[in-house]
Amino acid sequence: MNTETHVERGVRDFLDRVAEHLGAVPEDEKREILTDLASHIHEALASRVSEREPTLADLEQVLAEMDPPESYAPQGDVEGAAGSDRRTIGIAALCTSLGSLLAAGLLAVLADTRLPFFLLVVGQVAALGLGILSRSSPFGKAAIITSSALLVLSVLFAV
Amino acid sequence: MRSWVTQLRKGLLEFCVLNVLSTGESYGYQLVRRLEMLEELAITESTVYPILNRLRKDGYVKVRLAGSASGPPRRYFSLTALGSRRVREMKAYWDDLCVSVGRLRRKEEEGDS
Repeated sequence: MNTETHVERGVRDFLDRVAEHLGAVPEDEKREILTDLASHIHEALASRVSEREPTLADLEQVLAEMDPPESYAPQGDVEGAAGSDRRTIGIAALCTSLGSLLAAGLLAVLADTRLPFFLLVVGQVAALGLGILSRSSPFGKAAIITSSALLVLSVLFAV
Repeated sequence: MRSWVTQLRKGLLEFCVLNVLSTGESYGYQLVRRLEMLEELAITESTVYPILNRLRKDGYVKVRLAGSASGPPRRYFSLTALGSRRVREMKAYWDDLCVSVGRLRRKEEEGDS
């Protein structure tokens, strides 16, 4: 096995890692980007070593000067996904807050125990935690306000 | 400040790529090297190749394959007629923008003094 094979394998490994990070990019676009990138690496190697075959060490130096594979991840996708996750958590927080209020209210009407009070407090603490996790979404902010207010009211009521 | 710079860079990237190609065809590595000289814009290959691909898909850039002594065939990028028109419009808008912002800043400086 000669050095060129090692270099070619190194290039292929790098391109495979870039392909992983290109994620949802359509296949034809992905292929074009990888073709351009393979050509880029070969040009960079040729500009570095002109009178001999490039070695694995040359390739490592070239790759070290290039952007890492993860920088090819489409940024909009990452930001969009994170935003969508926060929104979902925010909605869950708001539902927990209002749901536990409703459940505690119903239970209070049906049974004369302290269970509704505990249910309300536990529900609001959970909603507050989820709200803090998703505080950058409007639903998260609404959950923080609602659960904090209900917690204060329930403690005052208990006292 | 950083997010403003990021947004501005993103917006200028296509303009810069088309601008370089308006001076003649270029292959990927050569194009990246030329764009890297604009240090303030911090343009690197991970931003250039995806945008070149999009510009080609949108019909602003075309590709020509040519042999290379250094490895796989080179892909030479050049402007299509649509791309030339787009870069002309962008340059005209950029010039107008520079004049307007320059005028605004001069007024502010005159106000300060």
